[in-house]
This record gives sequence, C-alpha cells and structure tokens, in this order.
Amino acid sequence: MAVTRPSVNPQARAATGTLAVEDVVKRFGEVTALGGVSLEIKAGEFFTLLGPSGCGKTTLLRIIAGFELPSAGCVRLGGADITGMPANQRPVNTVFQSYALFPHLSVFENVAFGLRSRRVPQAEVQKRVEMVMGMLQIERFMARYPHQLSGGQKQRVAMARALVNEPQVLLLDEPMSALDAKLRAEVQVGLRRLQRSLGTTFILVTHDQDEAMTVSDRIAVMREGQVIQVGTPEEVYARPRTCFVAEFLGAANLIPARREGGGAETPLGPLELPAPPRWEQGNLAIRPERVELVPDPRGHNCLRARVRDVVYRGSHQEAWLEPGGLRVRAAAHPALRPGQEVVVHLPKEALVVLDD
Amino acid sequence: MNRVLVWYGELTTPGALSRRGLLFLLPAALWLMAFLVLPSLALVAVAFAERGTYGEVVWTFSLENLRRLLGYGLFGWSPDNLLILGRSVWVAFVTSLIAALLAYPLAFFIASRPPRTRYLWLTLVIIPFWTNLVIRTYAWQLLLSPDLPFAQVAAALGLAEPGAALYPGSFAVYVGMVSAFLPFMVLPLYSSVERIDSSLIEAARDLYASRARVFFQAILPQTLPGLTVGVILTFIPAMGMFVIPDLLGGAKYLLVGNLIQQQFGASRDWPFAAAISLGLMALTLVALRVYRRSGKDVDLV
Amino acid sequence: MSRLHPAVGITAVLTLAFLYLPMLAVAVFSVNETRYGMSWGGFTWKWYQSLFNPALSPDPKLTETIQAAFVTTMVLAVVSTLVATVLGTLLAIALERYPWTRRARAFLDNLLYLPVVTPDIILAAALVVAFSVLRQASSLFELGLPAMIIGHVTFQIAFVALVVQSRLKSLGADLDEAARDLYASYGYFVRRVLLPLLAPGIVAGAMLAFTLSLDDFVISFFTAGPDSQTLPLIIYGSVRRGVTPQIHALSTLIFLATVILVLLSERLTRRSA
Repeated sequence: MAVTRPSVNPQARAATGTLAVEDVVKRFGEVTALGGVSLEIKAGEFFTLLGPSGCGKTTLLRIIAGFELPSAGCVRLGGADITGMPANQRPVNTVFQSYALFPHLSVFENVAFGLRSRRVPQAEVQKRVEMVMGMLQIERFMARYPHQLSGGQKQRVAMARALVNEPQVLLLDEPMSALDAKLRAEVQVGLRRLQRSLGTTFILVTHDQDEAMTVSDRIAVMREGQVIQVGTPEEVYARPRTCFVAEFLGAANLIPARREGGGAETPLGPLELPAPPRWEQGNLAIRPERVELVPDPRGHNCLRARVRDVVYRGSHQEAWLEPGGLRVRAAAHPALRPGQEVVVHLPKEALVVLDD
Repeated sequence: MNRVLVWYGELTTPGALSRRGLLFLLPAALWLMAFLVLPSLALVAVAFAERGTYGEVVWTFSLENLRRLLGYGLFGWSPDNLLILGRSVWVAFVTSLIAALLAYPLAFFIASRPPRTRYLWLTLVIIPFWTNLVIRTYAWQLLLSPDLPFAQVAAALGLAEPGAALYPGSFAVYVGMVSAFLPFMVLPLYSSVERIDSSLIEAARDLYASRARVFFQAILPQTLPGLTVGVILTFIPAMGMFVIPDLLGGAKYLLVGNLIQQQFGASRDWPFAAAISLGLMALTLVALRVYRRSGKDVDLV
Repeated sequence: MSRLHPAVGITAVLTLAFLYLPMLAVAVFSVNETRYGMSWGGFTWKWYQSLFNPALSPDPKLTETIQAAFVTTMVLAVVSTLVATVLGTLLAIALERYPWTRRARAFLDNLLYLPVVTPDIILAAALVVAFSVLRQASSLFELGLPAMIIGHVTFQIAFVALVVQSRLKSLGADLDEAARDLYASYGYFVRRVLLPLLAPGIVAGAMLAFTLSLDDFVISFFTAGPDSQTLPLIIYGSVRRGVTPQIHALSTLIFLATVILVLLSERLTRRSA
C-alpha cells in the first residue's frame, strides 16, 4: 500500500533513523527495574521486547515514550539524544495496554486528538483521520464512543490514534492482551502487514512468545532488567543462548552435561556436539521436533528409551520418554503407546550448547 | 540542582511541580485555615478564658470552665453537666442500635427487589435523607400531638396521660433521632448487603444453622464494613444533635448541643460554651478512635 | 437473596412508612381549612396561595418574611455552592495529582475529614467566636448573609473535594499519559480531557453541596443576622411561636423540591455511570 505522508513537524522528521538505547538503568527506590540495557533498533524494524512480567520490558518502553526518565544512560533517535525530551514533543507514539481511549470523545475525535493538540488545520485533520481510519478499516465507527466498541475495535482505534501522527517509532504495550486467542492471531498478522506497508519502526512489548515470533523482525529476550539475547525469531528459537531463553521460547529439552573432549557426557550417554562447549559443566538444549525416532541405533547420539506418556495432538503426537524425561514431537503415525521401546536420535546439528 | 522527573507523562522539575500543586491547593487550604483551623484554635483558646460581667470574653487564663464542665460550680459539685454529656452519648448509642436493627430488614428487603425496581426503593430512602431536618422534626411534634392517634393509643394503654402530647421528653427524642438517622444507616448497610456472597448464607442454612447463627456467623461479618460506616455516620452527629432535642426534648431532655446553644444564647457565656464544645470534640475523637481501631477505612461519601 | 422471611418485608415496609409518616402529616395539615388546632375543617389550597400572594394571607407579614427568606436561602445556596465547587475541585486535583510529603498529605487528609466528622454545632461555635474577632477588622464578618456563606462554604468544600477526588482516582494515570503522548500541553490536557471527564464528579459534588446548604440549620442559626433568615430558620422560629398551616404548606413545597432534586441527581449520576 502506497501511503503519502505529509509531515506535520519537519524537525521531528529530519531526525529519522535508528533508535538507540544506551546503558539505560532504571531504579525505583531500592528496586532495579533495568540494570544497564543497550539496544539498537533500526529504522523500519519491527522489534519486540519479550519477557515474563517484571522483566523491565514495560519500563524500557515507558522510557522510550518519555513517561519515565532513566536513572542512567540515554536514548537516541537518529543520533539525537532524546532522553530529556518531554513525551509531548517526541516523534514517538504509544498504543497503551488499556488503550486509554478518551471516553468522552468520539472515535473520530480520539483519532484526531494528536493533530488537534498541534493545531493542524481542520481540512488536514479531516483528511488524515479519514485516511488512517480507512487504512485500519474503522471508518464506520467514526461517530461512536469508545464504550460502544468491542475489544478488537478499540485496539484498532488506539492504533489509528497513534499512527495518524506519523510517528517515527510506534510503541505497543501488550496491545493484544485484552483480545481473545482467535482474534489475537488475526490481529497479529494484520499488524505485521501494516508495519511492512508503513515502514514505521514498531516496538512491541509482550510476554507471549508466539506473538513475538509471528510479528517481529528481531526479538530482545529480557529477564530481571537485562537483555539476555537479541536476534531474529529464527535465531533466538534455533540458537537460544541460555536455559531461560530456550525454555521461554517454546518447548525445549534441557540436558545437563559435562565436557568430554569435543563432546559431552550426559545422563543419556555420550553425545557428539556441533562445537566443543566452553564450560566444564553446563546444559545442552534440543527442540522436541528435532528429536528423531529411528528404527535402530546407527552411529552417534542414538539411545534406547521407553515411552512414558503420549499426547495425541491431531497433526502430530508428543511423547515423554524414559530415561531423562526427554520430550519428543513426532508424526501422528504410527501411534506410540506407553511402555513401547523406541530408539531416538539426537542429531548433532540440532543440539545447542547453551552458555549456562 | 536541576533535577527533572516525569509526573503523569509530563516532564517537569520538583520545583515547578510543587509550584503548580500549590496553585491548586492554596485557595481551599487558605480558606480552611482561615475559617476552620483558626476558628477551632480560637474556640480552644476561649475555653481557657473567663466570662466578663457583661458576657464579654476576658482573656485571663483559667481552668474554671473545664472544672464547671466536670460539675464543680459555684455551689459545690453537681452532676448536671456530666449527666448531659453522658446522656448525649447514651442517646447516640441507643439511636445507632435501633437504627441498625431497623436498617437490616430494610437493606435486605431492597436488595431482594428485582434490579429494575431496586433503585426506586433506594430513592425512597434517599429522599428523607435529604429532607430538611427542621421540617422532619417539627412534623413529629404534629404526629405526637394529643389529638392524633399515637397519643390517644398511648393514653388508652395507660402509657401516657390522656389529653397530653407525647412530647417533649425522651421518647419523642428517640423517635425523632431514629427517623432522622435511619437513612444514614440504611444506605451504607445496603451497599454491603448488595455485595453479600449469598452462597455462604445458603451453606449455613444447609447445615441447619439457626436463624441467629446464620445472622451472626454468615451475615454480620459480611456486612460489617457497611454497618461500621453507618454507625459512625449516626453516632457522631447524634451526639452533637441540636434541633431534635430542642424541638422534641425540651428542658426535660437536654443534650450537649442544647447546652452549647444555651451558652451562646441566653447565658451569653462563650468561654463555657467553648469548654463544652471541647468536651463534645473529645467524645467525637474517642468515637473515631474506637472506629479506626476496628481497622476500617473511613469512606464516608 | 432468595427466601426472605415475610417478617423482613413487613418490617421493611413499616420502617419506610415510619420515615414518611411525618411528611404525610405535614402535607395533610397543609390542605386543612382549620387555622388553629388539629381538627379537620375541609380541603383547601388557600395556604399555598397565601405563600405566593400576601394579599390572600391571614398573616401578610409572615408571607413577606417567607418570600424574603426564600431569596436568602437560594442566594446562600447558589453562591456558597459555586465557591465551594471551585475550591473543592481545585483541592481534589491538588490532593490526587501532586506529590506531597507524607506529613503534608496526612495533614491535608485530616483537614478534609475534620469538617465531615465533627458535629456541625462545633463548627458553628468556632465560627461565631472567630467572626467576633474578625468583625474588628471588617464589617464583612458581621453576622448575616456573608457570614452564612462563609460558614456553608467551609463545610461544603470537603464534600465536593471527596466526591471529585473519588472520580479522579477512578480515572487513573493512563489518560494523562495518552494525552501527553499525543502532544497535548498541560493546559490543553486540562481543558480537553481532565475537566470534561471530571464534569460528572464536579456536578455531583456541586449538587451535594447545594443540598447540604439547603439542608443546613445549625450553621445558619448561629451565623444569621436579623435581616438574613433562611427558610429552615423561619420554620424553626414559627415552631417556637406555634405553627400555622402556612408553614405546613411551605414545608410541603420544600419537601417536594427535595424530591425533585434527588430524582434529578439520581438521573444525572445514573447517566454518567
């Protein structure tokens, strides 16, 4: 979709570019919410801050929006330091978790709010609001009030209200947490497409790893005020750096291991690794769908096991094996039965040597 | 140092923030200082002054008024003033008790109405709440007059003299007080009753609990927040009530409010009036302290 | 809420009757022909007519006093409500939206609750004493209408502030931040978001203040001057001298006005909820 974007604030537009967070620390009294976070988010990127509640992701978002000041560090947009720039001057807009629509204003006036604050002429307000509402397909709610909208509709109004200002960076604070699961999947795809067509930098905060994987160009996994790993969805999923990342993004088998030459000694037996570990003792990870069931033991990384539990999932089945509680995802046929003896193969290239 | 902070989304400095906060605060704060705090302090000061010959305030320090309040007068000790203080507390207590006893059935009744008519019944309670107290009180004079059925029935039963009104006196004061404060008790109680978890009551009934046990173990604990607000809204104003004892109690049944008014009026003894006010204030603070100790947040509006 | 014992319903209805019986009696005697005593002399509207037309009144002077008192009552209620609503709203915003130290907050909270919980006769006594001192400085503090307005505003402020404050609390900080995020200056935010959203709370607070003023007897009784009688004071005075049906008619009208006011505010709060 080709969208012409007449700019309101030429100075703000001149600063287009990378959003950089540099060594940001945030303390609330005794509590450290962010312990020195650095990130570089490229212009036009869909970037996600992913982590469990209390990991500091929302605090970081609020610092970028201008609702909090960092205790140390700075935020740069296109090279310019915007750490001390008031929220109402930043070329950054937010979609709030609660949507925070103004209940006394119609949908149209909600969307127009940011333009009216800056005294944009009425004709242009009309044009831009209609355009953005058309883009989000909410024109027919124009005259309604927020309390007359469904959750999904509110969410789109909140998006429109932010996007009409043509921000350089759009911040989204768990915008889908209030939607039901089915709608959420739809909205995620729509969000992704919207971001692509606008080319605006989106920064999404979520605790939902599926959502992060669906929409993001890159993901920063956060925990206890630190960024643990940054990478594309494929990278963080296939090459998690720590036990936490491996487990937080989907199911993972964690195997405690000891270094033995270039491979590892584990409770499952000796395993060959793609690269020698840098630790003496640590953990390996393998995704359940990468574990293979083979007819008979051939070569390395094969072991005999017994099926303990099976869960039928329609398209596939999942089994938990003895010993080691190894989780396997396999094709639905042939059906596995508890007690059945199987041979599994842990392909060398599917094993991930974790940092911890 | 030029420290900055973000407050409700606004980037500001502590100095600028408190300057604007003061702008909002000062008009009302100054008003309340001038017409609430300072007058209260003046009242305290006057309580320790003396009455001049012509009813003026003489600014010599004296504990005489507090001694008088405790009963030490010119003619030795007399319990009159203490009796009035004690009676005010007693009347407030009995009023709260009767109002609570009548409020429970009414609150449950309203809560049991269908949601659409419920607010109509509530409105019926709210209307007397807002009707002028002087009107509601003199109306009782009318109702208790000798020509109307109440007095005649009472006379027939031998409870009152034939041809006499049922006021002034303690009975009329109680009737007036209860009818005046009943809405204050019903409204907060209703908000508690409305939120009651009726499964607890059902459970108690299923366990064959007696009605008394159902009340004390299932209903009372759940409605305690509303009840305490109701009691505080009844007890404290009832203690200081002036109109009702004045119109329905007469000289026979003086309460502390009447005593204060007498000193401002006929006796023109401000220092003593101030001393009695301090006594009433002390009783109020004690009542609030007892209430706070029961661990409830004051939520009076 | 099922299975209410019938005795509960009967007690409840009798209790409501107990609340309305006094007003009913006043209303009945307000249309009674007989001027003195309690006997029924037939139906009449004449006591109502006499309230509006001194010529029709058996006591034209009383009618004039009542009419003057009506004006005083309304002026007192309107002026004090306006002042208290402005002061109370500002106070609520100050308390809810600005960071005060713990001690300052405790002091302000007490300042707010003090007039709510103290018996009004104490405030009245304090004002009488204070006015007698202030009178030395300005004649504004002579007992009379200005003094009554000051007294009413003093107890109204707290109620307005508490109502507006609870509305502010329910608004939360999200909308403030959203407005900021959308480039609003503080002034624009106050004009376009805060005040419109507070409006139902401010109106509710003002109605509460207005009703409290109409309802008040004690403060007015202590601070009124000879030329500034309010309707409750007139009724009280005539009770001491002996009530006439004219007073019953007046009381009934005040009661009806109260009913309308209550229904109006119910409707307002219902709509905004």
